[in-house]
Amino acid sequence: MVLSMSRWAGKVAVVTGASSGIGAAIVDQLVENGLCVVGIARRSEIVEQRAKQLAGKKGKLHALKADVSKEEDIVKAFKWIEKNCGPVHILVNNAGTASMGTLLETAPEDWKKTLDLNILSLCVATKEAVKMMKANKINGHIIHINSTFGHQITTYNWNVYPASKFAVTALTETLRQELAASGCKIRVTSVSPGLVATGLTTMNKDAPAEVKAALAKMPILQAQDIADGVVYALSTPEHVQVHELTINPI
Amino acid sequence: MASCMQRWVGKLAIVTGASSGIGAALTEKLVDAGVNVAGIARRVDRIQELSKKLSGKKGHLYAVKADLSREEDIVAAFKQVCDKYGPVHILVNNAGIMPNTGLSDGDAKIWKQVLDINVFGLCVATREAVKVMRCNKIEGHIVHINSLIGHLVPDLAGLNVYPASKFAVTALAETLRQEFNREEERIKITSVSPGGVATGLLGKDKFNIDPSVLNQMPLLEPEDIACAVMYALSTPPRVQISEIIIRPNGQKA
Repeated sequence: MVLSMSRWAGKVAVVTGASSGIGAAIVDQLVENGLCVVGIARRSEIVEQRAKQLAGKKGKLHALKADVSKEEDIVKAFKWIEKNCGPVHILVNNAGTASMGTLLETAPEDWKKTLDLNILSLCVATKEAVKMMKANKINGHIIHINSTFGHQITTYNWNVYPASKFAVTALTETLRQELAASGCKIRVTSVSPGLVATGLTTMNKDAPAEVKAALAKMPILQAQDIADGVVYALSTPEHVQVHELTINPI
Repeated sequence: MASCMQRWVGKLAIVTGASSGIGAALTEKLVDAGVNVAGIARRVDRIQELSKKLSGKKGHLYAVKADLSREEDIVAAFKQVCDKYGPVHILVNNAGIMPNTGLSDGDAKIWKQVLDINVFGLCVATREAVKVMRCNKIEGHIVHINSLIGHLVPDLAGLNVYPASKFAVTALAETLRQEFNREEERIKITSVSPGGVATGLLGKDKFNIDPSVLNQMPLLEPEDIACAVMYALSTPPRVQISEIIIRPNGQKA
């Protein structure tokens, strides 16, 4: 029994937040490994661009415009995917957001955005994917892009973001138990990165100068490092469930 | 993929408890990949057997006898290994025991054995490896073979201090990571925490799970854990896999 992506070749993988950062890196890796990837983003034109660049690779990339912070968009998206690409085998819940600032400084509207996208949208997308997998007897895989903040809080400057990620940690185990109880072979993995160079962090144009300066001094991961982790989890044999993969820079 | 074992080819890995189970499976993979392994265990004869089986592979396997619950033994073993085979680049703290006794009514001698091997021996071995790495300016890698039971306590009779010992390993991995981070030291630390694995640990003369229960449990193969360690070892220098919790798919508990 070795690590292999071959059983996913030609299968449909959905990645949310596919236009940049970790999502884009995951899309690239999955296409390289021969999957049929549907990249969901609000900025779908960026994903279209990427699809053209990836022409000739083993797999394919389809861009799908949707705002996953809206429940109806998610449900519509999954219907479109099943009709146009086929039933889903892999879902990567990568779309997520954070707003900087303490709990005292930030507003309930900011909190709601973070909680809705990071928790609720993840749940809705997961439910659609698992429904489809079960209906098609697919032993699929759900990947939650979590965060080290989902396990330990090392700074108080991100208001409800850590709470939203603690929720993802709990949801991973809740889903795992639910699936196991029904004898279902669908696997779920939480991938929890530390600091990664993306638009949420070092490439955030709106970040204040002191924040940029502080981040520049810190050890940092690249988006592809997280994509590599996702591929490792996917490539394990069916009897193996990578439950948690925590990746830190050094 | 940026994964690569190339940086470890021809270098030395020390694997404790290399004589069977996860330790043996990992040792095979390392030697296959061209890494030299010094296997430390009480049952050296088994390591020597494995060494014969692996002759002709890219790496070499050396057998070293030591009692991993005793500081003097561990210090002496590290000295012996590094004097003979070169400085250590990778340490896999795999040796561990899971004997069956109570907590509210148990054998304190057994409790002490568990803590001495699973926690104390791991700390001493880690210290010795880091000493060598620092001395030789080696950007090495320490892997703790932890357990799912280092993150949650399952409803299983007879575990006594085993969960406590593995919760300790979880804390030790993070303590070490923070220590290295503070010193801006480029030694990686990874904790790999498996659920049930098909090794001798759960069976007769060890934890002694009722065979009818054991037969119903989904289990991982030692090779699955070995693959997880190889993935962690093969990440680029800027990446450290801090934790891999790996379960048999469909495990209810």
